[in-house]
Amino acid sequence: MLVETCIQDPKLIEISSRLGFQGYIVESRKLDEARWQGVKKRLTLVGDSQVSPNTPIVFSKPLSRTQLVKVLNDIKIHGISLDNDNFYLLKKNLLNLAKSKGKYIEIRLNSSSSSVIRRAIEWGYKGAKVIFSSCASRKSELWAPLSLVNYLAFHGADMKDVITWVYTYPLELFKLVSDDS
Amino acid sequence: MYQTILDVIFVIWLLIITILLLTRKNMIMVKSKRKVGRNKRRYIVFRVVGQGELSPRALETSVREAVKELMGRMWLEISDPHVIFYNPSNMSGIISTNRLGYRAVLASMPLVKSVSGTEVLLVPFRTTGSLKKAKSLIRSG
Repeated sequence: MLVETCIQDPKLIEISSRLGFQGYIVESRKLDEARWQGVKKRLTLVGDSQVSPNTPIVFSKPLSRTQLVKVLNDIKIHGISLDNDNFYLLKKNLLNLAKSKGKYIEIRLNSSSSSVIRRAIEWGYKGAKVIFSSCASRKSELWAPLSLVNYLAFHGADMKDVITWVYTYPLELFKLVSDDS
Repeated sequence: MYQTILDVIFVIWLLIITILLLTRKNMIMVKSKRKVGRNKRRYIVFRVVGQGELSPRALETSVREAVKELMGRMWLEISDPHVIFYNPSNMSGIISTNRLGYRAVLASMPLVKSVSGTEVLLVPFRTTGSLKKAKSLIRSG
């Protein structure tokens, strides 16, 4: 089961299903979970925002090193969201902390340059749980799985690892939350 | 007498080793030459998610621009993508490229955000080596 780990508009669920996805993690207040099958809700905290109690999946986009350390030590937060704005915060010691705490490292494809993708591939090789999300709010921002696999392969990733990042970890996150709730 | 026999055996042994080494080296060279292979055609079957009439030429221009944006002119010339077939009724089409460049085309397809001012999403769903198979995939939907 392929899981799209971040969609910002529930209208895109139908289009995502045509791309081959069967599980969707949606970040929207308008989402009615009962209406859709295979849909989970998520929330991305930016900066110092607080965790809301009713959201099953929580990611955080830290904007400073202090926030990143705090987020990595918070058990309520499942992972960190990185892109061009904050990827430089994740240094070697904090990567090791993320690995030891089992946090997911989410890369936002539409706001990440090739250098961020390359760094993420290196983090993945070091054993971090890297996932790649489109975080699409429009249909043209969605990424087809076949395109994503080839995009990562062109950035020098090994095909076996690509399958883990595109298929295994998103499914693991989806199931982990299903088990929790 | 024994010394002469030993010398002859030694010379024959050296000759055999030399011949084996030379022939094996040639075999490796032949193999590496064969490994290069022909840059055969590959066909990418894709669907368009969007609304409005699209022309194959406009699609091709957008795909080529996307490949150039992501990979640069060198990979655009290597992959040389062409939209050779487009069916507006089921919004599916075929991109012709080659074995060296089809991955570059696949990776660039999400960068096609619009075609002739219409917002679209190009979804590759299969690559194949024969045009006949690609057309049958489109017919089967």
